[in-house]
Amino acid sequence: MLKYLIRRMVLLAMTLVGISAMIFLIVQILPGDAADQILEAWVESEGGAHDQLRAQLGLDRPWYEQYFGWLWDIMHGDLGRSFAMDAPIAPILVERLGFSLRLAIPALLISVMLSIVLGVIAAIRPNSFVDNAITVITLTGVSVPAFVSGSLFILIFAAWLQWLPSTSSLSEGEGFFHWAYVLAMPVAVLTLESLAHLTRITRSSMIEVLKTPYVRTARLKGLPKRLVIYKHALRNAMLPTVTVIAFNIGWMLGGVVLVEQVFSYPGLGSLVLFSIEQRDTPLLQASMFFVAAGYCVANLLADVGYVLLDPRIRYS
Amino acid sequence: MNKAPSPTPAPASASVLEAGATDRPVLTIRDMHISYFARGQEIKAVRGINLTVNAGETLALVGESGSGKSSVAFSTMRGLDAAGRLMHGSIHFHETDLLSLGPRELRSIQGSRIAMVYQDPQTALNPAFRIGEQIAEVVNEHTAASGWQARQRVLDLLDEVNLPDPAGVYLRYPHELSGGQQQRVLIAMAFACNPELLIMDEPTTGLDVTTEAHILDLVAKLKKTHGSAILYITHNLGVVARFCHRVAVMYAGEIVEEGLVSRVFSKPAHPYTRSLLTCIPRLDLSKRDRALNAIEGRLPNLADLPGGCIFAARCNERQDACENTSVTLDPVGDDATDFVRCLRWREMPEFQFDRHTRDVNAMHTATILDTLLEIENLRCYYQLRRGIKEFVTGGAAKYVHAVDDVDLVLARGQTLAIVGESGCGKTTLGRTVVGLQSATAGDLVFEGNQLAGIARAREPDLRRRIQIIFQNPDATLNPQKSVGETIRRPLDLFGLVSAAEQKNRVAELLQSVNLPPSFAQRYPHELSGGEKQRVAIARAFAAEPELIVCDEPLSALDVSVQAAILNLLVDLQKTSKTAYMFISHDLSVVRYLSDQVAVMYMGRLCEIGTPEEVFVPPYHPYTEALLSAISIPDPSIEQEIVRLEGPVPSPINLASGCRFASRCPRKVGEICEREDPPLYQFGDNHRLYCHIPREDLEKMRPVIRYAGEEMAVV
Amino acid sequence: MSETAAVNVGQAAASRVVKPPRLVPKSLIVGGAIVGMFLALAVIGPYITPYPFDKFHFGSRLAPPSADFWWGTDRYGRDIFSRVIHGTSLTVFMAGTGTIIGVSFGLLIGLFSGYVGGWIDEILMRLTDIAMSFPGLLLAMLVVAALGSNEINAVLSIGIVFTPKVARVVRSATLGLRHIQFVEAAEVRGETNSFIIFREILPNIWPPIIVETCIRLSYAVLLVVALSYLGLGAQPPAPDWGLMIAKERAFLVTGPWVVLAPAAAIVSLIIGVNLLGDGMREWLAARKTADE
Repeated sequence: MLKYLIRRMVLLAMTLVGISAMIFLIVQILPGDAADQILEAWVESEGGAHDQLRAQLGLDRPWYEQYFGWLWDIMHGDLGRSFAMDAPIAPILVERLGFSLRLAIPALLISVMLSIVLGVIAAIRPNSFVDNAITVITLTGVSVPAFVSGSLFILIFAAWLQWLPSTSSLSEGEGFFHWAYVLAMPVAVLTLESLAHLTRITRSSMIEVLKTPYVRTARLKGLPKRLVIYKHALRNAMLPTVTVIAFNIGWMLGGVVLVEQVFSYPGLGSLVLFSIEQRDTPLLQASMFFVAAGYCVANLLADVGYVLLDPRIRYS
Repeated sequence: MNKAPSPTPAPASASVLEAGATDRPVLTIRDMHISYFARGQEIKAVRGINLTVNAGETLALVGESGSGKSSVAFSTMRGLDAAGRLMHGSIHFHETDLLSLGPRELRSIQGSRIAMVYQDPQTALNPAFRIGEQIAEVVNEHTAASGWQARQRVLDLLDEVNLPDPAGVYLRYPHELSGGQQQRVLIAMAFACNPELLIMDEPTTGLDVTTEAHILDLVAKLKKTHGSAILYITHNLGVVARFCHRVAVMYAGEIVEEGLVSRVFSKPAHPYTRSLLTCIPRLDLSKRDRALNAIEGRLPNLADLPGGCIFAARCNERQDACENTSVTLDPVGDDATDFVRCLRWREMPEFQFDRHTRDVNAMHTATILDTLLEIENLRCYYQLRRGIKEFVTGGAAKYVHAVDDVDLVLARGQTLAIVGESGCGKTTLGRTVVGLQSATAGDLVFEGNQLAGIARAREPDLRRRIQIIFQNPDATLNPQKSVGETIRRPLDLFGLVSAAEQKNRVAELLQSVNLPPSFAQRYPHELSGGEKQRVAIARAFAAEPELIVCDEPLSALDVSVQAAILNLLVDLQKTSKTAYMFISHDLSVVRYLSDQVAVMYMGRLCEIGTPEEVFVPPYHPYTEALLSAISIPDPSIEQEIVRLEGPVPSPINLASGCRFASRCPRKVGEICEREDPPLYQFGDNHRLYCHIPREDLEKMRPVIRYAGEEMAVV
Repeated sequence: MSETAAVNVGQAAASRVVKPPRLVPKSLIVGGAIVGMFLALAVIGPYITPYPFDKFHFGSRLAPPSADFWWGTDRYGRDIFSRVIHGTSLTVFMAGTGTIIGVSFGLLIGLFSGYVGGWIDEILMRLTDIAMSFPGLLLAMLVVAALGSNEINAVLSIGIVFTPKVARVVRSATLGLRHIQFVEAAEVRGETNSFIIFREILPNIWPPIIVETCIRLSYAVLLVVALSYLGLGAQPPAPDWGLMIAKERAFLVTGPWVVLAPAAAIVSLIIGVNLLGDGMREWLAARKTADE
């Protein structure tokens, strides 16, 4: 197990370097550079101001110096400085991450737990009424983009019923119930989305597992149905679900961008969007790297979970 | 259909009872009909089966694939899968009607009073739970044992099935055990509550012969100690002869013959049973003696059944009446135990196994006249993936020694068989010859040409001259290509015939493998397994090769089909003078087909010679064990009992010494593990690598003999 | 299950009418019909709308649905029905092209990587690992940010996001056939790599590729509308569905139809594609088992 973890950590480190290279490469294609962007408003740019600014931002260095300088800095925890906010990036990212996690973690927990229950219920009696109902609901769930369901929620719960606020602005120091009140809608939107995905996966993998010879063995041992399903089948059916949970985290991160936009919520997603709009290269690079790294770590955790659930690959 | 009263009369009278058996039925199946539903069709897999298993008795249910035997087993357990349905009939366990039980009552019987052992132990065990836990579940569910008692019971069971270190096995996961060990676990699980009825569904299929022999010994022992009745389902008649009392033979969903093993194996009444018994050669038949009795044709379509006798279309004794009269079970002899479903069984000549006794000393030894392929000091090692530790410490890489220093010569137009159990390196050897992988060291010389490692690096003409036939008929043909395209491709690639001639040549090739030319338009999914294998043979012969590597080409086929393919291979060799390198684990087939036999164990040669030399003493101890493990469907043949104990060594980084030393029942001493065994030469060709002194080898007793004789069956 | 398999063995057996399993799943038919309808709208839509998509009707701004304006009008008085219909071709074209790009490149990379193996495979797979470390939408946003916000770049970004994922699926299907006997038989004959890849392997891996393409198509629609919602896809005044929702959101309360109409179009298209994918998977799986 330790060996496996070490190998995965080495691989993770290599992937992170690859990610940084890819982000740097793509961002370098951006038309113009940060200096142009900043000086855009400065109409009568005096001769030399542009070059001076480029030098000040380090943009006159060759690309490899810029890249390895950046890589060196992020390896030391220095994420650079945002042009647009004129502030160090790290604290901003950490604060925004906190906001996003407040959406993502409850959504993930609720959807994982509910999806297992729903997936199993549907799989036990395929093509029954309950299964068909679950299938229709989950199919709709995966077919509605977060910004559509978000808008509908606002229309129904904020505009018509007036139960919940339409924007989710936060202020520190409020109690739990205020948070729950403010976040209820965005969390619900995210939950629905990932719930639909996870339920579909759990259902189909459960149906597959219920057909396997070892489940038949368990049944013909004379074990009660509940043991056959919740012990013998579920444990094996969870394997693909675990992988999809990781995948779902990525999906959710995309969903977070949309949900934050709909509810004007100041999370990581809106920060990325802000940095794109403002052409704030350092902020864009750093926040993208942050998101991708987080996704990698989530994948790693899912793989470790997989290994824990499946003894077959524990020592390989 | 109405509920027909049972047509089978009362069960066995006391005189024909197996030792320890009673005439009290444990299981009574009456008029069972099972159907499967697919693509809107009803496939009538089982039709009107009656079976009785008495307490303490072992009843074999024998049939080839598609006979419906496993459906009978699973429906008896009430465990048919979703596509299958028990349409009609009754199943009684003692006096209990199994079909009328509610889920709770059924569960109290399943796993405790009726237990089952499955065909593929690897998939039958849950990969996610420890062995001990999976057996303890049965004990916990069906007895009042406390946690500690249950654990103790499981440990006793693991010990009873001869698993070494029960406490260790208790904590293992299924994937950490070998196939034979997994099957022992399933057997332990089945015996956990002393079942009155045990259903075994092909429990040794897929296991090596030496492992199979162990499992059968174990079942026989447990049967004695537990007194369970056994319904033993198999396709292997040899296994039936070994330890079953009564046998029912199924064909295409019907029982065609039923009776005592002693009678059925000596005087089989049904033509199908007769063919089954003779279609696979015993060890006394060679291709030079005669062709095999094959069953031509294929299973009837169970969705659209013909009238009359179900076997009529493939029967050599068929008359017009067979095809339009419905055939009922007819009693055989005076005992009320034996039945046959045939109109003409009284008219057929008396059945006899043919006996070929040979004077071993006078037998000619095939000498190699014209060398086709020389394999010299061939080694194939696989490098294992280096772990982190080796990566960090720079430790040496580990190698699996698949083939280790093998020398062989293959003559033009002859058959060289490579025999051994799984993992012995025989397949690797064959793949190296055709160029699917390259050797680590050593030479392959084909008619004086040094062969390059990978096929693509060889000259086109050399490539053409060496072809291969694979094991699995379902994977051997591209499902998206018609038979014609498949056979035409080598003609095209090697430019053998002009484009205009190709069509005729394809038809010719199809005819040479006994398929009608119209098959050129068919696609693989429309063919039976035997037909696919024929197409694969036609594809190999299309290249007009001089050597064909046959990698277990029969092992996935039913015995009746095997015989036909064997006959075909022999005929084709006679006309084309193509040499075969025939890789197999089946000694009877090898005996029949080969001119030279090489026995391999863990990458090394043990013994090589003509079959008449290898299958009689002096033996290599491993050859002796292999011969002892095979099952021969003839109660008049005696076998010496040699069982292999001891661990199979890991094939990684092998040191010197005899590879077989750890399991050898005739181990000489420490020298076996220390030094490579010396070569003994007997006669011109017979080579044997062993430490046993020459005079002791010569004193060995034949393993397989006709009852009461001292001469080896060969 | 065993409980249902053996019930009523006696009396019901004779009278049981066995329903033949559907040869073509219902979801495939329904999904195909929906997708077909959208495809038809994409082609003929612009010719059948009552008004041009960018025609202003200043007298009837934010008008509710009526005989004149079936689905109401937006804040400039443009007919929403006409805009949604016009938008169909944009969305369908963008999603379709993005999918085709991603599937084509992914197919080539996956086949090559899976069959050739070795260090080439190792490098290609590490690259796909890196590309797949970004959540799809964020990678698409990054690419559009680099190339500029417009329709073509949005399509390209979808292709870039999909390529590694399709490559993975195709590679694993290829690996499944890498050592199958008919492929090895071709190797023994000495066939070229391209013959083996395109003539032996490719014809046998269409089922997973078709299923994956359907899945990709539904994600492609999601990405198209999400990117334009975020202002990174089509630009005004294009009648893009995502863009319509983004621009008119302020009037959600006063005139819900401005959002509901394009939302309904988005959701029904994606449901159609998903049904098509589910049905396709079911149908191909049933065909496979029937062949065996």
